[in-house]
Amino acid sequence: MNRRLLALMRIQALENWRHFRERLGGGRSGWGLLLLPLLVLAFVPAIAMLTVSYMALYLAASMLGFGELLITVVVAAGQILCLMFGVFYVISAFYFSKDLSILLPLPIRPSEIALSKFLGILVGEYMTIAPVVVPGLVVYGLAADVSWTYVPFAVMIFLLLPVVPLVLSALFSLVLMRVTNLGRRRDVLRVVGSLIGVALAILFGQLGSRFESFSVGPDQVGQVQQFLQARQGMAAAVTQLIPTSRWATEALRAGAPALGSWGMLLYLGTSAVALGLLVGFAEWLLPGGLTTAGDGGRSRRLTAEELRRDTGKIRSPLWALLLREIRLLNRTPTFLMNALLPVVLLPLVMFLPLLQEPEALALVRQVSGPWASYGIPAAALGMMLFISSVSNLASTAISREGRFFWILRSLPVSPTLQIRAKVLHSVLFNLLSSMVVMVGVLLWMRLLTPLIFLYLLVAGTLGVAAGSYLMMVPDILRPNLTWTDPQRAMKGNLNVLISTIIMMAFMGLLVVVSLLLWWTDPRLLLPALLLIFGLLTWGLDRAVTQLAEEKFLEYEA
Amino acid sequence: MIELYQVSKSYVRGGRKAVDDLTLTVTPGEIFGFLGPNGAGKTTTIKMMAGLLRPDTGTIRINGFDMAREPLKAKAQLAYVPDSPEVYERLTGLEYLNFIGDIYGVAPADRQRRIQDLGERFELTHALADRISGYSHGMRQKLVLMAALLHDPPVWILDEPMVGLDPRSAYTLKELMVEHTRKGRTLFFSTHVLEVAERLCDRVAIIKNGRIIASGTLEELRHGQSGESLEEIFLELTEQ
Repeated sequence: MNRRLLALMRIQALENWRHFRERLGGGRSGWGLLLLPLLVLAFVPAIAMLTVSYMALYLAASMLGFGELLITVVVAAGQILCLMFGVFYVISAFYFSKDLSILLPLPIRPSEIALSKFLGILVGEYMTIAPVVVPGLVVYGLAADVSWTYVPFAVMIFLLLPVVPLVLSALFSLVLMRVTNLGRRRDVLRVVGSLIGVALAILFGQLGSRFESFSVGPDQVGQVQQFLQARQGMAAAVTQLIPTSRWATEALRAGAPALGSWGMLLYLGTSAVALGLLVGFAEWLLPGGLTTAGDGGRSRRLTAEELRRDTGKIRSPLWALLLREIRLLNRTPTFLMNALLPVVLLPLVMFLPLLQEPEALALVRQVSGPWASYGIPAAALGMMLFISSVSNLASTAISREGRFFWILRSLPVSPTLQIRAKVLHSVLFNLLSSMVVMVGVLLWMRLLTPLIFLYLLVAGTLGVAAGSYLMMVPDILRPNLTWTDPQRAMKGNLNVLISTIIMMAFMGLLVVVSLLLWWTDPRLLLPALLLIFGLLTWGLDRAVTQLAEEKFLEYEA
Repeated sequence: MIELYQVSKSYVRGGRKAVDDLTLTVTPGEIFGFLGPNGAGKTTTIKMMAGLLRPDTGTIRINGFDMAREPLKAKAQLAYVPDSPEVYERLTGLEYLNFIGDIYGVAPADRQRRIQDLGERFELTHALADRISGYSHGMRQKLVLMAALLHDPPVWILDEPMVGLDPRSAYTLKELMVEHTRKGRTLFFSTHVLEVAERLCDRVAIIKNGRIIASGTLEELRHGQSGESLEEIFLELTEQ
């Protein structure tokens, strides 16, 4: 490996590690790394479920005589995952990195830059695919009668698994950026990316519901067998579509001829050829596809009339701050999509199954008595709180300011007013979105009355305000103000996770209180919730604005 | 008037002080230049004066208002221009100026007059309807200057204000600085361009390792130094 490539890889690794550490810890101290075991623990249930499914798949497939189908499935799944996420990772790393303007003038070949960035992405991909692929390989290794080569071959196959799909993603990105002008419209690219993400999520949701029959139930193995027998051609189709999964299977399967070395050689050779292609194409396509930032915008002289009209009124500081929040959110697609998508997706995921269950819907429509009068509005209020808790608007309110925070901090406007403007913005956004959803759902269920609407409007405003104050606390305590990519202010912000946990605990407490009220006297439920939200909003306003008054002075940005 | 009294600041508790026991006063009608090598503590001092950083010890007063006790009143007195013109890229220039005008409560007629006047002087009127993301570094610097001066504040605190400006705009800014102090107002600015400091400043201070190593008029600085120009004096003092 040449000296330049090594230097590049070293700097990329350092950059990625520090970013990861600061993202996790919210600063340079590294204390946040203590949260790492907790994050790993959070994945344990999902990995356990996957492992059980793999075991069922192996047992069923081995009874039919092709237990190695498990290897084909996990390798193919890993490669499809890499291919799906790869395009966005590659475009982000190749074209939107801030360091390209520093690297390109240096005496470094474009292919060396591409290769170093590619290896950086590879490390990230390992973390993405490991929870899906490793349990499958481990299950097969333990269950099947494999040779001694299994462990080294399996490690090599795992390490090289993302190479081919990532190279395909990279080549697609290189060509795309060379022949289109998308680089200048990175916002459009992100919106399109998010929409593709939504489409994929819904598609996988639908597929998931079809596969549900063998992932649950007492007789898993039998169900998997039925499933496999019904889809005999699936394995063949997968191996035809993704030949590397066939070679990996051949290299690892029990009783493979000559220790599966021909499969391994083909797998290694393909990966090497793929890397060679990347080097060649990057040399040719990378420099030409590079673009500068900037979103075009209009460019024309401001007329005296426009100046007179636009400066003709004076707004209160609170209104000016609110307008600024609205404009910045609406004009930053990364922020808007991150705030809007969960709010749109969550109700879809929650209420779409009802479409397939007309009996359940009919049952809900027949609700009467105290359930209809008090239970439904309380449940709708809870849903509104839940929907508004996923928008991430409040939990990133300070972080989104980023390097522009000096503006607010140098202005003669108190942190209290700044926080209130942010809460107001969060309330407007979340109330509007959750009201639209809940009113729509209640209309569809034929449960909406004017009184319920009015109650949801008032109690929802107070509840969402209380939730917004609460979710803002972690971000006030430890904002992430050093981002250059807006994604890091929202998706990559640990405060989102922390405030979601706080909000879940808060809503859990509310459920307990609601149940106690219900058991005491159902008529108490709605007025009590209104009172609780009113008091909480008042109390949290005092506490959180006081916290901001103290913490805003401590930020050293 | 700007008063700093025994101001100290360190970024790491118990670590090296970025600003160490700094005391100085800038009187009305005075242009005060703040000079020093990179990392000497200029920007830290200015950020504390603008209320962006809290000093560990000491007092800062802007026109008599204590920045720690009455931050809003102190901030309302000043125009602050940072060393790097970071402004909301998703807004248009005019939207940004209107936001600043709303926060300071600048009346529509005054706002319109000031935007027109400053826009023409800095030759930025043509771009005010555009998103800031399309601005060059120099255009952003001009916009930050316009926003800072929009409410016609009595105290200006400018951190490297000439960086990125074209010669005509730099000349305009220097004119504005002189006009400002002729009205009996206060101006404090940092710069690495010693010729500008020599020509404009009534007094200068040189900071090194967080401490002021020299302060006064050019005549006073020359005392005891072999150099004649501010550049020679600066090099002599900062080498010691």
